Amino acid sequence: MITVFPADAPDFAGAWDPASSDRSDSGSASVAVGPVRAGPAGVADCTSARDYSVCYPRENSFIISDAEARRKRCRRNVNGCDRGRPVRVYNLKMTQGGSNKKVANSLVSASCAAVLAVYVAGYTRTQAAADRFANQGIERRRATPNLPRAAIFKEDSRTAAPNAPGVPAPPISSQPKEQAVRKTIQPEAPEKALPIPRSVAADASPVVSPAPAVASQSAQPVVTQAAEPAAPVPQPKAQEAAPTPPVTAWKDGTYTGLGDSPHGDIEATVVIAGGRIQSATISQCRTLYSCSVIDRLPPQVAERQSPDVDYVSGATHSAEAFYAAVVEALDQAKLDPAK
Amino acid sequence: MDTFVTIHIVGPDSSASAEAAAEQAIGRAFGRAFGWFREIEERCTRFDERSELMKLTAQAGVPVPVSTILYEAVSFALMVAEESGGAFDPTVGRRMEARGYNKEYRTGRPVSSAPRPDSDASYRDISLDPDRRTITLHRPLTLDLGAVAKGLAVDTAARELEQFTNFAIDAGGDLYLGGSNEHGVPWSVGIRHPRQEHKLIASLRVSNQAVCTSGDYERRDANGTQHHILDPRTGASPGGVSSATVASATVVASGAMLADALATAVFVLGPKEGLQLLNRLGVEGLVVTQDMECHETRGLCHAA
Repeated sequence: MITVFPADAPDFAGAWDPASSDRSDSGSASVAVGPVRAGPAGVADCTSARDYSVCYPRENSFIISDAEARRKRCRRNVNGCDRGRPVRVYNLKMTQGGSNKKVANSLVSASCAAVLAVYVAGYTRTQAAADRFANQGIERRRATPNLPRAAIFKEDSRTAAPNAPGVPAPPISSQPKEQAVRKTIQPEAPEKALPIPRSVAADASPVVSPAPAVASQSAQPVVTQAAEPAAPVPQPKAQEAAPTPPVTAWKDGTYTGLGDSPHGDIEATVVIAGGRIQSATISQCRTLYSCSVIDRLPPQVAERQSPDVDYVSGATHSAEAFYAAVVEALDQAKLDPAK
Repeated sequence: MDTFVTIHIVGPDSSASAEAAAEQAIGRAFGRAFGWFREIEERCTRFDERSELMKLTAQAGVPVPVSTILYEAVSFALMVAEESGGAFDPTVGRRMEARGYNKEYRTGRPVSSAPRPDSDASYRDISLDPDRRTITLHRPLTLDLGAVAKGLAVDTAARELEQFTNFAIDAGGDLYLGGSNEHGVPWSVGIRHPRQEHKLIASLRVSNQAVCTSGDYERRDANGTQHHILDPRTGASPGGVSSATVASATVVASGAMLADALATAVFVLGPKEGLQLLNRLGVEGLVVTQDMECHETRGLCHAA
């Protein structure tokens, strides 16, 4: 049953146009924080279960990468909410004075008011964890090759107690977002070991030892939408802005590296040919959960000529382990700077 | 809440020393944001007799002074109950007790619920006094604030992060997406396919909104048996086993507390009434029925 659409209802679906996104000033980085485990140890004995879906709660909605979103257009998947399929769309035909706007209901504003009331009231834990949190070695990682100044921060917040103001702190006056914004995208700063654009800066190699969560808490992998490489096509501006010389900083050969995670190790094998990364593969998957959750990542290494694969919502540990394994392999492949 | 919480902030590369302060600010914001989760869970959990919620439900018949957090959570839950005609009702949780889910999920310890709740209690048996900030339960009942509390935590955490403009909070499937992702475009959110593991049924573009999905595939016990959301108005599974029964209901709204409660309501109401409710409120949503038909509001923004 399809109701009539008001003729001038706004078409929100067209509100975002990738071509119009302005990325010329995108010096921004991505910061990710690792999990806060309030979380379950699981039900029954799930330590050896392969079907983790039985044992752990599952998210029904989760963040995915842009490429994954595009990939899930579901042309093939007839069971998806394919745009090509007939979809029942419901729209309220307004009768009050001919207005076509959706009426903002009191429930929506009530929810905002409730949140505000709670926020302003604050909470009263006392501790110093906020500063502790701020000073911990924040793990950083580059997000995508298109944003060489981007970094992903990963925190282990299990050790951090909550921050404690009686009232919430006022907004920070500095606007971190704007600081790096107007810079031209350039190859990485020269003090780093390799003159490879978009590669991992030495100090940003964090996550060789990902947050050691309890094994049972690595339940996330069940949410397995592996991030795909941000395809260059929809982001031409960024690409054009950063023309880079071909990478020639590795010795030819085959190298292996090992990355560990709370639920097992991943061994990666990287092949260098002609000074470039030819391939990176998972040569051994010793994690409790299948490495298929991260099967999008290995091709990204060759595509990006760097270990900076995407992180994977719900498979953080596996993704990090693979990343660490590739980093270790590449370390062995580095050209001797003395040469 | 037993929730795995991940927070992403899109911020500047802090390799420059001048941005160490920004990194500190980010760290502090994380601390405060996670603090909200702990604080709200501590007050609203059903799985600890010492929680403020459990102490409240142990005192039927008298006005009980409560904290702002608990008051606002209960107050909002009641508003949604009213608006949805009882399809969402915090006094009726999932049917879990028969399967052993009256144990704390984390430790497996049984949790005793004190007075035996009346089986025909409903949200109408609760009164609020906003001036004194008290809650009165007119009969013994259970209050399940799981959805509302988690959403409230996400929303307060989001306020802590507003200064960064671009961020994402993922609290076990309850999401709030602020601004844009690291590529400078609205966040992409995948909706799990109700039947096919590791697959999406839809992906949405979201910015400055919350996304919550209620499904019939959410919790399983050790035997693999599913736990169904109840229709509080009937006490049974919504809609029986007809093909119009909902398999998954997603709501995109300005806040997670709102989206979570509405997702539950829509799940119970079914595609037609559920989406009418969303339209009336001016929020977006997507309903997948058992036969894998998709029903959605017009303003929903797909990623592809």
